[in-house]
Amino acid sequence: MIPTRQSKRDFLAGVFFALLGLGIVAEAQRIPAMTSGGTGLYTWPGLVPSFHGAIVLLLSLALIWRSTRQGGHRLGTGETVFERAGTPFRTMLVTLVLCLAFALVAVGRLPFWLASFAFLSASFIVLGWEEWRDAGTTRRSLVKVLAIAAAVAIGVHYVFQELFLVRLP
Amino acid sequence: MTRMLLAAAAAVVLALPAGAQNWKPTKPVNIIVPWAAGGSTDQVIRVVAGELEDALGQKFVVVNQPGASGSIGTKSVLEAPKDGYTWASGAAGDVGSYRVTGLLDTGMADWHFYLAIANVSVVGVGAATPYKDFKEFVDLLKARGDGIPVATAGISSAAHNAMELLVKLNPGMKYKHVTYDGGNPAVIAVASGEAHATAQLASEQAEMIRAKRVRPLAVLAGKPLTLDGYGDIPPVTNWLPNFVSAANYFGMWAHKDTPKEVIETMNQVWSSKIANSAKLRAYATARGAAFDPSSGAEAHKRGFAMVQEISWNYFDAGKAKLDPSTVGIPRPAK
Amino acid sequence: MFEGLEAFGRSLAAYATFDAVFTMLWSSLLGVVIGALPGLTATMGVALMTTLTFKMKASEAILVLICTYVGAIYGGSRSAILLNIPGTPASAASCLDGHALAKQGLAGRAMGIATSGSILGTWIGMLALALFTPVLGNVALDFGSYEFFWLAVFGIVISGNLTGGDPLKGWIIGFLGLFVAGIGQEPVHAYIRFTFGFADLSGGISLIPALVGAFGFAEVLAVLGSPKQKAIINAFDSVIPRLKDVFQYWRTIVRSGAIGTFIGIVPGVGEDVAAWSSYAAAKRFSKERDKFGKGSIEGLMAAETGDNACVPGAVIPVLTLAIPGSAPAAVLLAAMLIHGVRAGPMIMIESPQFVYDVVAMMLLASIGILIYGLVLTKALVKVLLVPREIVMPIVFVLCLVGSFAIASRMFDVWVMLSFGVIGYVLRQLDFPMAPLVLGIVLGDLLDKNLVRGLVLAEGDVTAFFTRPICIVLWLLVAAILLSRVPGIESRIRSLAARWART
Repeated sequence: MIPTRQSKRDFLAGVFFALLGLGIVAEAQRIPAMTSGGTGLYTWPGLVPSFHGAIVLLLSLALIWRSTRQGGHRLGTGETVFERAGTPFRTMLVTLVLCLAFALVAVGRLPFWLASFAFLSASFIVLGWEEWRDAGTTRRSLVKVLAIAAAVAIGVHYVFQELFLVRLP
Repeated sequence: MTRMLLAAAAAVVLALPAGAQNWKPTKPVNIIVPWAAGGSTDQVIRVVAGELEDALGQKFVVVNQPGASGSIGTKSVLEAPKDGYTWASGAAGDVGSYRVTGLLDTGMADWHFYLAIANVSVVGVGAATPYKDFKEFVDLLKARGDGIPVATAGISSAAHNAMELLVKLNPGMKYKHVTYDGGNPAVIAVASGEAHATAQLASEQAEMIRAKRVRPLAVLAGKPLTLDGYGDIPPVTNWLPNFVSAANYFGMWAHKDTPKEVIETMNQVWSSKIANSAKLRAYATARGAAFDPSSGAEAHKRGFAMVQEISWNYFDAGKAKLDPSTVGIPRPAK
Repeated sequence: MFEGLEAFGRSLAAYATFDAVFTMLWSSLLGVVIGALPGLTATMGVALMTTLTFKMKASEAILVLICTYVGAIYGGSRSAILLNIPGTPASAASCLDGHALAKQGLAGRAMGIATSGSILGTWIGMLALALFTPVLGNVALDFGSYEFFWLAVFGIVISGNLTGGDPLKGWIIGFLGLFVAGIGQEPVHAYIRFTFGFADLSGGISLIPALVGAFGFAEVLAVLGSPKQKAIINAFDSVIPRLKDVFQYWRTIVRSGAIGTFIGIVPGVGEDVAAWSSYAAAKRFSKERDKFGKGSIEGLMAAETGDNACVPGAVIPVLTLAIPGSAPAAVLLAAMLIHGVRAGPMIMIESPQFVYDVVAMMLLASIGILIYGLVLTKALVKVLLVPREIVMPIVFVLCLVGSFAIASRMFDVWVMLSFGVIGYVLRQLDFPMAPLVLGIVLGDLLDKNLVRGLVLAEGDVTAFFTRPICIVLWLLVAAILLSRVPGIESRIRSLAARWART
């Protein structure tokens, strides 16, 4: 039997969640009993999390069991587990990097309208470049997206900061 | 050159007093309420914000940052720029005792206080419960208190502090501590009969008292409390003559490093505008609170009395993270 | 009865002025905008308006607040349908079928369905508000810790309906959500758990940043990480709500309206729970169960009717007991107090007219929804024509601002980013996101009320089984669980059929 890609993914996810469930249960055991206030053991703050963690663990074991019946544990053979090569995946990674750079680096250091303008124009250009080049509309598109980026950045600033009085980061 | 410098220095010196009285905020000012929207702090601060807008001609925006007994919101004010555009708020007793409760490394000395109203705790019991007066209530708590559910808004809430204080004054008294998500849910639990009693703030119980769903037994103060539409609630001193409790003042505060002109302007606004606010007075009267604004050293003194009381209650109950006297909070004088 | 009608007529006449209509128009538009922007919730909108209407007359200020509230709950469906981002937590359930419909080129129709659902929901709730306020108000007091515990369990059990194609994965992610809700300060001892020394976590993980991340940011990554598709817009797609949809699903509408109103009355649970429970109930009773999640008109109708019916429902205990039925209603109550309106048990004696004033305000607000549903939709649908390379970065900016705006904390932005990345990976592994969000909503309710109930009963679990409402709830839970066991459902059906014959 050739293991399907789905069963391999399920196997990996099952292992991950089983470890997570186990981790939750283990961490909950470190919470002190807190019975000094005269209350019973049922107020132990680790009670409910232990239960949730245990259920996650049990369900994950069920997922692992199901996937191994389809051969999901034989990771070496058959198809690849994840599609990594294609253009969409690359686009996603580039977007992720841009988003994280915007949220974690630019925001807070630059005024928000400037940070969002920079992020938007950079994303528009990176995501659209190839298409513009193929269509031969590079210059016109560039002007267009810069105008959109500026309009959105100013619009967001206006709506949140001026209209709804929310202070932006 | 020297002359120019001197002239500039003179200009600065001359300009200072005028500038000191005239902080003109150029953008909206945020007041962080570290509790949920609609709660007791939120209500008071929204009234105060409206009055400040009138006085300073700038928007005062209330931002709710609830979580971890108010310490999340207070922490974010500590981390914000100290330029007078971000204020903290709540009950002075809470912010002053965060070090003792171990929630946050801050104390009274870190802030300039502007207090608006004083809230007092009321011992209220459900309409269906048998307790006729405060004495009966205490006697029953002494006899079989660990079976009597008392609703509070959680550790370090007004009701919890009040109950711990009563336990200290009535040796042998016990109660079953049941915690709710806030003052209002705790009062609802008493009205519905799930809990027998609460000692939350008068302002949180006012509606239920007027509707006769909660029966007030005593106000934890030295004099009776007159509640609109109900009448007088007897003071706890009728039964416990040696009961002393500070009032818990609600208001807003700015970090100690805030520019001087902000503080001076606010001092002035507080004593001229807030102290004479009809809206705030009407609000306080309807909610069974005392309208008693203060700022500067006076506000600090009033807040500190409550901080001492709360901190030492914790310490005596064995729930404090450290000895309050090590962080500059001496035991309150009897 | 006629007195009530007469009083309602008086209230309506009082608000049929140019000023009132103008106030309604701008405040419901503001509400719709607040609702449509992720991160600006109904609670926040009403709180913001409380401060801004501070100097108005009480009657005018409360009209503004009610229109903002109703508008915001409705407005959340706009971004849910068009972008798969719930504008408010209440519209998370609308994402499932609303966005699926939009992907099939039926965005206009979906928004029309949402509009009619919202209006009808508001009316059903409004009817309850007008007719049964004194009677229904007391229900709020019948729900104690034991009942809330069962309500949470009931929610978890019926949400098994929402687990999508692979129930096992749905349950895993749902219980993870329940766990996530418990992070931070715990209620009984104020013990801070699962924060690993990270002080910001002590306040727990807020619902909105998690929601915006799991739906919004994850959607951005998923869309850009998938092969390009041409956006479909149906040129003949009408934005006008169809009467046919309403007639066809009238049972669903009435049921969802009743559920929504009831959830509204019960304090501590709000529009989000109302939408999810209406949706889950609709799926359970539907003849087209397989369509749910793939663009079911019935599902979208149920969610939108449910959350809007919750609004008047939540106001009922505000008026009769001064107990808010939801988070925005809590702010509304505070605003009433600030304006000197004394809501509470005395209101029917002191100012009965005020109850009908509120009914009239609700009616005005529903007219506002209708107007903006008709006027704005056509323009909003055009969002789908904008290339995804342009829309998605803008969506991310809104996700970031939205998660920050709710409490002005950078920490919430980190939560949004983490849930976005985790959500994306989980989606690739075919894990549904809805149970995660529902778990976070219900986990808090479950944990606190279980522990509180145990404290009250001193560890005696029988207390959870003996109170009248509890009996109904646990019997329902047991019935649903039993019906899942293979063979039992068909046996019950055949039994019922035999009874019907005799």
